[in-house]
Amino acid sequence: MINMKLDRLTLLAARQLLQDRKVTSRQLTEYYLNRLEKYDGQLNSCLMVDRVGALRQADQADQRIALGESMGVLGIPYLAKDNLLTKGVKTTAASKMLVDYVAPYDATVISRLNQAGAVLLGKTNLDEFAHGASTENSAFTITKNPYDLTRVPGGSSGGSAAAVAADFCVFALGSDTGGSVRHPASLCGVVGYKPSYGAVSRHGLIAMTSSTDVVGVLAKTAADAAAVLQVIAGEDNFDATAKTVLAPADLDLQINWSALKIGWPEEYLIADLNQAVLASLIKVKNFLQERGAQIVPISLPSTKYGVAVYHVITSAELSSNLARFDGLRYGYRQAAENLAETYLANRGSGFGSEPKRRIMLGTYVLSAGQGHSYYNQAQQVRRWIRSDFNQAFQAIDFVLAPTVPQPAFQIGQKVDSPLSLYLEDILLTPASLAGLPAISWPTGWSSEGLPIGSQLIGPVGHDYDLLTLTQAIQAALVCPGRPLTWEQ
Amino acid sequence: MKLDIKAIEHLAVLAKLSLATGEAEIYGRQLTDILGHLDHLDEASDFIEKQQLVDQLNDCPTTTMAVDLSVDEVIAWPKSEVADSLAMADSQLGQEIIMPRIK
Repeated sequence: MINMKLDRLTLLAARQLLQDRKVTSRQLTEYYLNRLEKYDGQLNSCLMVDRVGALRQADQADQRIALGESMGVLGIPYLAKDNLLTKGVKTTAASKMLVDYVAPYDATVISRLNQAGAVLLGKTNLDEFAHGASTENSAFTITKNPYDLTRVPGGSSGGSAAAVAADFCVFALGSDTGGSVRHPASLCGVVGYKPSYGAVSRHGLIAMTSSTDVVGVLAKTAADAAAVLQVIAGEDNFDATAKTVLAPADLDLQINWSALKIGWPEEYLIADLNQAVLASLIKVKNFLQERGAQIVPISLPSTKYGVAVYHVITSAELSSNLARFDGLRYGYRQAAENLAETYLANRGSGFGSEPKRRIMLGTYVLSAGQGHSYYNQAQQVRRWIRSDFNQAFQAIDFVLAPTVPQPAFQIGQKVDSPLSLYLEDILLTPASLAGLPAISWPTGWSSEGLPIGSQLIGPVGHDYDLLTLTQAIQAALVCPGRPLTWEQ
Repeated sequence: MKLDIKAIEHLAVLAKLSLATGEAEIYGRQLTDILGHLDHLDEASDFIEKQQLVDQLNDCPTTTMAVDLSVDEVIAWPKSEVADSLAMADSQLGQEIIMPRIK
């Protein structure tokens, strides 16, 4: 039995407790497993909890700690989004198509965390195949926002964000294709970091849009996200796009504020931006100015086309990536008369409505004629988006922007209008399309008591600079947490 | 661009998806709505042409890194994982995977 409060532990604090032998990895793991057991029935953040496996890993970590091994993420309990393959543990992508699928190998990020001694508690809910921004599209359950159980947690990494906010783990892994880490992070009041494209291997991440998919981190602080990045980033023989991002040994929070130039893009201050979101952003801007940073008004005119470009490119790529799910080799299978009927039945019943909608859209934009012109235009505008950012980064170091226009919305509110849900990502897709590192961190609360996040976007490869600046802001401009009412 | 029920049914066949009763109509409405938004790309393309914006980067947005072509995934893949993958197949004969008969 331990005589200390373990609630809301950051990774760095947990690491210190383990290092000082004030707590064991088993005790930490049991603490989170017990919380999951007690409370997750209300939130549905997880699709699966592996108590036996987690305790076994925790015991192994304790043995390594006892031998004096250096810390990193050794003994730290975490959760992983259920579109990351885990050997011997079910990976469903929240789809009926993969309901009983057990992967024969680990995703590279999982394997690296395993080797570093992190403890996998279980797998989190998501929108089916990561298609969505509310985690309502899961085939199994709807995850709820920890700060208002009638509202969505955002998505598609909604289970991971809700779990971190609910203190069910120290950190969680998600994936960000067009905002799927930053969006739920903003709605749940946690840090959501999307690395530069290629900074982290995609091997073992169930592919959605191969040209923008990245594995991201949901955590309580930017420093925690950096600590995880140090373990998971880097080249990988299984992903030719994975590259090295230079990592410092520790985050140096000594920022030369007066040398800092922050871009303030007018196009991100869209007309329907919630007043509390704007106020929260201005608070950050004022803070930076007070510290001596220069705020530079910039223009990124391509921003408003981000969602259109994203949905053409993503639907085209995912319709190809999801073609492999035919139910013949593995996955959901339904008896039919002949081969053609078998394909139709397996895929028609195995996929939910959102993947089906996106697959058909992708099939359309890849088809000859009018459909194909969408694809060509989207590729052209994508280059413009990237050029826009590239030009801006000649004069500035980072872009400061809102993450999401509005705080969390009611469950069911946007179910009948997919387009309105797609537009949730309007401020998120440009960084994804340009392959830039970006982060959302909690900066305020709405009048209804809902979390609000702000976003920083950096140049490709400047991931640690981005995390350092965010951590420095987070440490100085503290956004106090709020009680979780269901806990009491 | 409007997608009618016939167009949706054709797309579903191309995408190897069966549709339940009434789904074609719903998808038709929703995808037409979405394509309406995607039509904004015309405006963006016109802007690019009028401003004569030239792509200075001359590469694909997310392929800036050097690709090591010497990497051979098949060789690099651990033998135990290959064996595990094969064991997932319904039946084996030597190294060949036999697909179950479609009923």
